[in-house]
Amino acid sequence: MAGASPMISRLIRLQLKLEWRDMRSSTAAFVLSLIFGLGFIYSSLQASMWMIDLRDAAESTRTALTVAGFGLFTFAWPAGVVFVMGSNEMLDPGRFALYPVSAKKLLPGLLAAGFFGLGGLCTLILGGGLVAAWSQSLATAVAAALGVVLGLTLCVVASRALMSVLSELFRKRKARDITMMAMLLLIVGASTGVQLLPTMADGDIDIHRIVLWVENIAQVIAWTPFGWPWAIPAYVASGEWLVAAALAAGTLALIVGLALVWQHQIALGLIRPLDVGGAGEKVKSSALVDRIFPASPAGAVAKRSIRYWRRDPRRLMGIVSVLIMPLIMVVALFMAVRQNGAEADAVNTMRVLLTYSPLFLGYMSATMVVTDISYDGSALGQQIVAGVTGRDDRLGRAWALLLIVVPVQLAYLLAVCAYTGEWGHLPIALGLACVFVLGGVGIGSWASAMWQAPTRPAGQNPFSRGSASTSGSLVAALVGMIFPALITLPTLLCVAAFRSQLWMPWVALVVGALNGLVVLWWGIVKGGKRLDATWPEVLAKITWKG
Amino acid sequence: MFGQPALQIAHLHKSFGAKHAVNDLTMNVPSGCMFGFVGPNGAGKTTTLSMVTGLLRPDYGTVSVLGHDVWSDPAGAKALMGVLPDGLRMFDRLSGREMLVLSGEMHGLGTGIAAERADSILAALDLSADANTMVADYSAGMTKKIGLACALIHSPRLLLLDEPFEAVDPVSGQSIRKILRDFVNSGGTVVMSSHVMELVETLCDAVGVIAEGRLLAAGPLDVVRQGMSLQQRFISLVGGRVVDESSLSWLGQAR
Repeated sequence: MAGASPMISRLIRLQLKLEWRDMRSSTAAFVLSLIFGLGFIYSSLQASMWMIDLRDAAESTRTALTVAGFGLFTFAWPAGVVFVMGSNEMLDPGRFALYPVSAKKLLPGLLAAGFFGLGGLCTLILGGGLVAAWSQSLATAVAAALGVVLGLTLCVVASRALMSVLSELFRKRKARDITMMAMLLLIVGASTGVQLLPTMADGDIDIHRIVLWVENIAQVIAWTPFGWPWAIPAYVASGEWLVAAALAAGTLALIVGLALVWQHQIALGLIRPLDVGGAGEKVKSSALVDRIFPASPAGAVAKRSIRYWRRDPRRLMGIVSVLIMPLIMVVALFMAVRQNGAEADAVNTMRVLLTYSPLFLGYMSATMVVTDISYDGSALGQQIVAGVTGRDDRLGRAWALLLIVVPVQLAYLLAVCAYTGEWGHLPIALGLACVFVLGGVGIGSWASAMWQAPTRPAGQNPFSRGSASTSGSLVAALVGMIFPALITLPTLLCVAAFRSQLWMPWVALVVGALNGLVVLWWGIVKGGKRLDATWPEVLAKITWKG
Repeated sequence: MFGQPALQIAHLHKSFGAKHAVNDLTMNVPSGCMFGFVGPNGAGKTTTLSMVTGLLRPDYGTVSVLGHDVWSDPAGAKALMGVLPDGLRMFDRLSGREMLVLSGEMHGLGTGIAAERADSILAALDLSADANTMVADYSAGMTKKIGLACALIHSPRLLLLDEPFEAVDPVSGQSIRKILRDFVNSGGTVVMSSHVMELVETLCDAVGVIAEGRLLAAGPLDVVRQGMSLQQRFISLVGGRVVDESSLSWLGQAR
C-alpha cells in the first residue's frame, strides 16, 4: 500500500480539480450544476429527516421502507452515473496508458475518487438517516453503519465496473450507434407511452392496485443484491445474526467480484487505449437513389441527404419516431371511437378527427428539417469548399426529405379514410397535408439557415459528457413547432369562406397545394440566400468542440 | 520559370479576441508551382488556408484564385480550387466511392464521369479494396487519402492541401508525391502546409515561412534557403530557442 496512497490522493485531487473545472466551464453550466447539486443534497437531507421519523415506526414498516428505498437507490446509482452524469471519462484508464502504472495500483485511487462526487455525498447523507433510523440499540446502529459503508462501496464499484464494460463495448462504432438509437427509442417510447396511459386507464385508476404493485416491486428488489447491505440492520434487530452476517459476506463478495471485473477492464484499457475501428462496415449503394436524383449539385446534396436519413442513427431515430407517432394518435382515437359506441354524435366527431389525425406527421416535417444542418457538424465544410450554393443545398435536402415523407403521409391518409369512410373530408385533409409537408419543409429550410447549434457527432460515445442546447437550437425548434400552424391560414380561410359550397373540399385541395408550394419555394430561396451570405459563420456555429 | 499568379493574398488579417492569428499577410503563388507553406505549431497556417478556401471569413484583406476573388466571386474561385482541409469532419457515413462521387457532383460533374474518375483515383491511392467501406471506419491515413481524392476529382487548377502527408504510410506517400508532381508538371499549382522541412525541401519549388501570423519569407526554395538547409534557415527565421545543455543533464541518467 506504500506506493498506492500517494496515488490515491493524487487521483482524488485530479478528480476534484477536473469536476470543478467542468462546472465552471460556463456560467450556464455553473448555475445548472449548482441547482442540480443543491437539489440533490436537499432531497437527500429531506429523505434523511423522514428516516429519523422512522425510528419510532413499527420495525416491519421501517425494514420494508428502508430496504426497498435503498435497494432502488443502489439499482439507480450505476444507471444514474451512466445516463445522467455521462461516463466519467475524466479518469478513463486509457489516459494512464503511457504511465508506468498497473491496474492494481490504479484501482484503489480510482475507487476512492469515485466517492468524491455528488453521488457519494448524497449517499452519505442518506446513510446518516439510515443509521439514525436504526439507532434504537448500539448493535443495530453499527450494523446500519456497516451497511452504509458496504452499500456505498457497492454503488461506486458497480457503476465503475458497468461503465468500464460499456466503454469496452463502445470501442466499436456499431455498438455506439445501436446504443444511441436504443436510448432515443426509450425516450420516444416513454413519452408516447405516457400519452397513451389515460386512454387505457379510462377513468378507473385504482390507487390501491398501484401501491400494491410498487410494494411488490420493492420486495423483489430487496431480495436482489441491490438490497443486501441495507437489510443487515433489520436482521440484527430481529436477532437473526447469521442472516445478517451472510448478507454482509455476500455484499463483500459481490464488491470483490465487481472490482475484479473492473480491474480486468482497467488492465485492458491500459494496454489498448486507442479507438479501434473494427472490421469496417461495407455499405451498399442503392442504384435507385442514384437514378432518382439528377447529377447536379442539388441532386448530390439530395443523394447524400437521403443516405444520411438512413445511416446516421440520430437522423434515423428522428424520422422513425416522427413516422410512427401518427400511428399512436390513430390508435388512441380508434380506441376512443370504439369505446364511445353509444353516443352517435361523439362517434361522428371522433371519426372526423380520426380522418385528420395523420396530419400530425406532416406537421412534424418542419422540425425534421430544422436540425438537419446542425447534424452535419463540420462535415459541412466539404460542401462549402465545393462551392455548393445555398439554394442547391436547401433544395437537395428538401427533395430528400419530401421523398420520404410524402408517400408515408399519403398512405396514412388513404388508409385512415378507408377505415372511417369519410371520403368527403379527404380533399381537405390532402390540402392541409400539402401545407404542412411542403410548407413545413419550407419553414424548416429557412429556420435552419437562420439558427444552428453544435450537436454531438454520430458515432461518438453516446454517454460522453456534454450536450449543447443553445438559444439558437431553441429558437429554431420553436419556429419549427409554431410556424407550420400559422402558414395554414390562407387554406383555412378558404375552407371557412366556402364552407357551404359543395365544391369547397376541392378548392381547399388546390389552395392548400399552392399555399404549401409558395412557402416551400420561399423557404428554399430565402434560406439559400441566408446561407450564401453566412457559410463560414454557420460552419463555426455547428462545429462540435468536444 | 513560373506563370501568372495562381493565388494572390493581400493584407489578409484574422484575430481571435486579442490574438492576431494571421497578421497582414501578403503573398503570391505563381502558376505551375509546388508551394510549401511552413511554420511552427500555431503559426497561422490552417487559419490562412481556411480563409483562402472560404471556410473562415477574414477580418480584412483579399484572396483571389486565378483572378477570381474568393469572397466576392466564391463560385468562380471554388470551381478552380481543390481543397483538403485539416481538422474538419467529413460526410463519413458514406462509403469512399460514394463520397468521391458526391464531391464530383457537387462540383457539377455528371454521375458517369464522377464514377469513372472515382474508380481511377481509388485505384491510384490503393483504396479500391475499401471503396465500399464507410469512411467512418477508415484509418487516419486512409481518411487523409480519401480527402485528397475529393480535392482532385473535379480536376482543379489550384490544390490547397493542409498537411497532406500526415498519417499517410510511405508507399501511399510516394503515390501522392507522384500525383502532385504530375499535376504541377501539367500546369497545376499546389499549396501545401507542413511542418516537416525535409518533405518540403525535396518536394516544393517555392516556400513561404509563417510564424505568429506573419509571413517571414517567401519565394523560390533556393532564394529562401540562402545556402543553408531549409531546417537551419527556418530556425534562424523563426528564432529557435537555445537549450541550455546543463539544464537537461539528468536526462538519460539512472533515476
